[in-house]
Amino acid sequence: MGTFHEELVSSSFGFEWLNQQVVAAVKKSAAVLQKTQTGELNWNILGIIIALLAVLVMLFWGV
Amino acid sequence: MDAIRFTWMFAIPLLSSPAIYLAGRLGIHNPNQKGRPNLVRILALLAVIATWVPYIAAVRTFLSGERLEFAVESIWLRADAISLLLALMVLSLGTLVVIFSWSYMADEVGEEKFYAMLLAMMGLMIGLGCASDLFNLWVWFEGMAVSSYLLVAFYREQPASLEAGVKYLVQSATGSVLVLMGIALVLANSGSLDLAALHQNGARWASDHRLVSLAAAGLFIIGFGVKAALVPLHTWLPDAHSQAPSGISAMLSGVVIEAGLIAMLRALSAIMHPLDWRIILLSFGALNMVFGNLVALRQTILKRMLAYSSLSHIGYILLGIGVSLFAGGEAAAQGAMFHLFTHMLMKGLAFLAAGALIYALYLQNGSHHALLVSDLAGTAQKYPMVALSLSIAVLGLGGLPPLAGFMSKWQIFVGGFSTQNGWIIALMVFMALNSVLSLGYYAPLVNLMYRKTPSDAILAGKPLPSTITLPLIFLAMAVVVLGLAPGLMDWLTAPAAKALLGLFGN
Repeated sequence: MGTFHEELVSSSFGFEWLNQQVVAAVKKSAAVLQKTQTGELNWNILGIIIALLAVLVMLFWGV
Repeated sequence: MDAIRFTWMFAIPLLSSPAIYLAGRLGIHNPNQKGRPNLVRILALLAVIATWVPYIAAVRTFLSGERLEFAVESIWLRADAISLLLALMVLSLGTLVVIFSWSYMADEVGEEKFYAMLLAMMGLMIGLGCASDLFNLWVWFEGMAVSSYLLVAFYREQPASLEAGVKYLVQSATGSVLVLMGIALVLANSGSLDLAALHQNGARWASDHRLVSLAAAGLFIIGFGVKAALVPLHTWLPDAHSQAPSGISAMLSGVVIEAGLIAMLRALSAIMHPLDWRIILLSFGALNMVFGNLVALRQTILKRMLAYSSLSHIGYILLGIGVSLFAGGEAAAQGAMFHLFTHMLMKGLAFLAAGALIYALYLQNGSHHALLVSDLAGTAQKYPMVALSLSIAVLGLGGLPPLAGFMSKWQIFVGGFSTQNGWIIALMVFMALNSVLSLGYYAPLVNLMYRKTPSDAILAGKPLPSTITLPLIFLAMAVVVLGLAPGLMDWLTAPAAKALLGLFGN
């Protein structure tokens, strides 16, 4: 029983694990998003065109 | 005061721009007139100081309830609270940038072009705020864009600077074409471009031509969204902000993208179709917040980090405006207007502080090297004022009380919660989490600057002149004072929010 309590306390009642998961997810998302920032003009223009199409589709669908 | 006189707000900077350029060229090309280029700086400073006179007079007229409008033939210029807020932002930051650049740009070739373009950009932004028809809004907007292209690519001998300028030009031009197509659609179907006239019969023509009005709305959102740095239209911004002279980085982040946002809102107000794009504004707000913060976490160059953080702040502003348009109530919109102003102060301060370090560590040593985050280690040991200013700026941007950034975000937050709408409350919680996330890249900067061991770059740094530290002190004080007394801006943010909601018939 004492060991279980100690483990629970040493792991900050699971909050430490949760914190690590959140930090890992944020870092992973940031790394993935960073890859989208190629800095190449062609991709940048494609981004504008795709955004235009997406916005038009959303508007026509009455979002 | 004669209401027409408010036009001097943009006429003075626009008229002084060619005069500054000519004065500079004549001075430079005359070998017997050494020191003549200083005339350029004096003229630029005098011009911005002179511009405050009609601005203050215009504010007095506005507060007295008199209308500020002027017409040339059928072209109307009208200054409302939004125009005056934009003009205040442009003039405040512009004045400090001129002082900051006094030493920063002193050794640069083409100093006269810098000041001429800066003054032109300021005048054009103030004019943009006063445009009252769609075509002239586009003309002012394009003028502002053209002057900013030249400023971004100012270091023409630097390949990275030219590349940033070309990217900015091509992407902005793409956006401008889309806006022009939107304007053509509105004109062809409504027969008018006057915003007030479109307002009066907007709902009717929009429902008569539903598809056309939706297409025009889409073109305006994307076209102006490029300049307002909506994700994923923002890709010009990190390069432009990091390659431009630091005063221009401050202007781009502090006022140019905000001017793009105001232009977008004015244009959208001509299309009075029920809801539709209001949810799109909220979606862009949420996307900007999370994308800007996540990508900023990965940056190792300070100005690029600040550029990405601007995306998230545009997100907060969009959220505030979107909440008021979606659920009614002025509180969130007033918070958004206040955040426009506080973001100008805080981001202007952050970029100018970064510029001060670039000047001390690199420019004075003859290098155009980018300022790395790791260079900041131990900044406080040698440059305590810069370290304090940058700390105030980034902690304010992160939303720490009692700084101005906390107060403006808090106003948006309270406005959102007061709607008692589940979706809006969820967005507010998302915004608060994003604000916490932003401390993940802001707080380490403060930690680095107050370390005891300075980086090699700091050790090799040169002293800073007072013309560079003075604007930092002024902006830092403003961030603290507005944090302690946010009500000081109510006289302008409250009517600006009212005017904004009035544009959309709320």
